[in-house]
Amino acid sequence: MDSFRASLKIEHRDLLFSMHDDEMLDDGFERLQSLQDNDNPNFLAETINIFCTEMDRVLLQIDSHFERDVMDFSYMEIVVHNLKGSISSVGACKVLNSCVYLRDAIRNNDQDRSMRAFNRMKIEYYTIRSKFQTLLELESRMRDCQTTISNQSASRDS
Amino acid sequence: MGMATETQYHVLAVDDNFIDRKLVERLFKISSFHVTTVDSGSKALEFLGLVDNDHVNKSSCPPSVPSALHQEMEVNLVITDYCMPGMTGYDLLKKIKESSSLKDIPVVIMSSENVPSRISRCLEEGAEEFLLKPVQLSDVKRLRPHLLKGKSREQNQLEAVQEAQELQVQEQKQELQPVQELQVQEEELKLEEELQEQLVLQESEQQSTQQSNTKRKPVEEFSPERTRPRYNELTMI
Repeated sequence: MDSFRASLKIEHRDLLFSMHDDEMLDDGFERLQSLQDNDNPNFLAETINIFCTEMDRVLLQIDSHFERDVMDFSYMEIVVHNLKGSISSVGACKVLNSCVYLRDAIRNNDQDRSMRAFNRMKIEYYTIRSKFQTLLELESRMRDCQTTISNQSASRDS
Repeated sequence: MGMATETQYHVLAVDDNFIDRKLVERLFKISSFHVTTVDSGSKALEFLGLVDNDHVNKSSCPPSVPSALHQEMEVNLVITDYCMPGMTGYDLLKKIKESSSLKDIPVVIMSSENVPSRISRCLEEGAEEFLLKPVQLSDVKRLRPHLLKGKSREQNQLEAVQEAQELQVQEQKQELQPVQELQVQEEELKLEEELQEQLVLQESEQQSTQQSNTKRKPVEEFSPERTRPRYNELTMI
């Protein structure tokens, strides 16, 4: 069990490294990690889940807005501004860059450029979303391992 | 964590963004605050109105608010995002500072954008600080002195009463002074002598155990880094 947990740890660490290496994550993510402790062991998972849920919802909203004949750029700017805040808080660097690009296109009332920027942002987001899922799964399995180990040693002692 | 304070400060955090609310809440909870979060300026005013009996919002106020509950819900700091739909953080700041009962509550503004004119406008309107997002733990720790400035009315009244009492005691002492003066002076002299003896003993002990190269500083009660005496009574993490 110990070596299994160790291998999970290595996988987790390598995944994080590669995400940083690819500049997918910046120190905003580390800040999130630092806010988690034994009293709040689920803080990171909760925050990431909230982020993904919100992103999914807003992306759908923007998608349907693009289907309209006339885009409401001022409304879109507010939506994207809010989104930018969440993305920045979570430390999703590449998604943030594409979001800024989208915001600039909207400010310039450029519909074509906005659509291309939006598609780019979706790709970046879906990429990091699947990596987040893997990361959180690994953390969950590591916690389960830990519980099993402590239960085993507790039963041995009794 | 350090010595516990008698009061746990209560912060009202206002932000329309879900994740930012969660982050700010966590930052303040780690710093031992009691936190309430709301997602709009109007809800913030509602909350402050509920707490404050002068600005009771009759429709949403419970029939009776016991004084213990009122004390618990007292807000010591408002921290608000600048960019919010409807009522902005700046609007909220203005409303708080314009209210006779709420104006003493310190208000801090947060923004993801570094706009100098925005910053100076908020500070001129009475904001204690303007924080750039993402807010860090060190930013939260910096806010403590503002809490001590923004005391509640009740606390001010309590202190006024305490001061008056102290003044009374001093006056009584002065009346008794001629009679007790001699006694007190003798006791003080004794104490001084004892203290001096102890100091001499300490020094001689130190000299006997001291290596030639080590320097012994006099015993300091507070570390040199604590330049603000106000911190001494607060929880340090």
